Amino acid sequence: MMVEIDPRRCQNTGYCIRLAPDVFGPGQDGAPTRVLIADPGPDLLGLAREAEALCPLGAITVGDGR
Amino acid sequence: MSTTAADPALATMTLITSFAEVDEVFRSSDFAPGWGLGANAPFRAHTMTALEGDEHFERRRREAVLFRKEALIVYDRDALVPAIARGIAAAAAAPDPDGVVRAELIGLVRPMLLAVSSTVAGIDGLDRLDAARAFLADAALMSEGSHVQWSARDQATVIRDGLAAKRRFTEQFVEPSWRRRQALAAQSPAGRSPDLLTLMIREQPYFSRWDADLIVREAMMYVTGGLFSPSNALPHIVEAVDRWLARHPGDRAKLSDLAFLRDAVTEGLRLHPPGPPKHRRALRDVTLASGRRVRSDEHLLLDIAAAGRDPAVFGADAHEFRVPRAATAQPFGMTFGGGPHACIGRGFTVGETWPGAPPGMLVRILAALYAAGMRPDPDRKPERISGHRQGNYAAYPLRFDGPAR
Repeated sequence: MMVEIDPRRCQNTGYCIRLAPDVFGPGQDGAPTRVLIADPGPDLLGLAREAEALCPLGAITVGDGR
Repeated sequence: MSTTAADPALATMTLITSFAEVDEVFRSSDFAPGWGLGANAPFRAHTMTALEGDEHFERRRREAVLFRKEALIVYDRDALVPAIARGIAAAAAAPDPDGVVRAELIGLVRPMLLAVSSTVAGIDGLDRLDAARAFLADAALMSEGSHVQWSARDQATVIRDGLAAKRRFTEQFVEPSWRRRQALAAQSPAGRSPDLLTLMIREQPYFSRWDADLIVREAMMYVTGGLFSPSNALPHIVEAVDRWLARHPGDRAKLSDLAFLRDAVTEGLRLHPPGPPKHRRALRDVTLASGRRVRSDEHLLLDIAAAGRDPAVFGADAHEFRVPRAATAQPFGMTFGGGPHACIGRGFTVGETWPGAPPGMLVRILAALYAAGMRPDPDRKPERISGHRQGNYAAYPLRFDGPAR
């Protein structure tokens, strides 16, 4: 499962970072949020998927996620 | 709802029209939604849209489960698609004496949208066409109460009518649906993706921080939010497509092309955000990137319609409907807001791009209507809501010249 952020959609709400700080981190100097672990293991995958649904801008995609 | 603004406070707010400034305010934690709750508190107090900061994060985190990928697929397959079929079949079954099937767009699509929004909220019984039609008047009164600042009617009357509608909604729909889910939750505490009421039962320790009436207010927010904005947007989109096809007749074959329809929906929403301007309050002194200085507690009125037509972002022809338009980060402009308070239903409304994603609620509806031969009725003029700020329609007549007959 690959975690990706669409930098054009990301508005740095920080919600994903608050939810899953091991998976997402702040971009530098106002840049879009970064993915810290693109292929999270089972222990973090649930949080990554929760962040995918939580992101108010729909900027996060987790793998095929179905 | 949202005709000429009646609340005099609106006239004192600073109007923001540029995309860049609206975008910056939406994103910034230096601004909070609205000017606080007033007369509309019985409709909006402590609902997700009224919360700020940590409280908003906690609520949105919980309710985001309603919009996980698997939930969107279920809403599309089990609620929307059957509701579209029911609506078109009912229209087709009642042709006029000349044999032509005619309908009115807003009245036709609202039961379809209500089937989805009530499914999300967990309100039973509104997926039936007769029940949906009977409920729509009360839904409108509740929505008007929730947005009373924008009503041209007497505010006390709006609140009184809205509260009466809310009582009926509570007794006829929320309470029976809640009891049913309590019984189901007792049998199967962790079933498939929850609806809102089920979520509130599961997360009772969290939701019980607020008054019990929050259950009704939050359900009302989902039911009406997913109903009026999309149905108010559709006539603008249908009209824009019709005018586009008159100038580009070769595109008529694309009415069955979901990508074309998605572009049309996106462009229509950019040009015609169906809701009123957004408001934000400055939490401290702020200087925007444009140099505009905003004082602490200054109230801003964000004109999302103007921002969506900003030539600096959408080009010299920003005021025109064009499909496809060159890609931008927010092709639908500011219709869904931005920042933490961006519309939670955006992805389901316009569609997402992940494999297997539903095409988007508005795209799905338009595709079905065009497949049934829908077009604006050339013999009956649309009616606009008198004095409406966004020029929304009261009625948009259609005729069906295809398989719906």
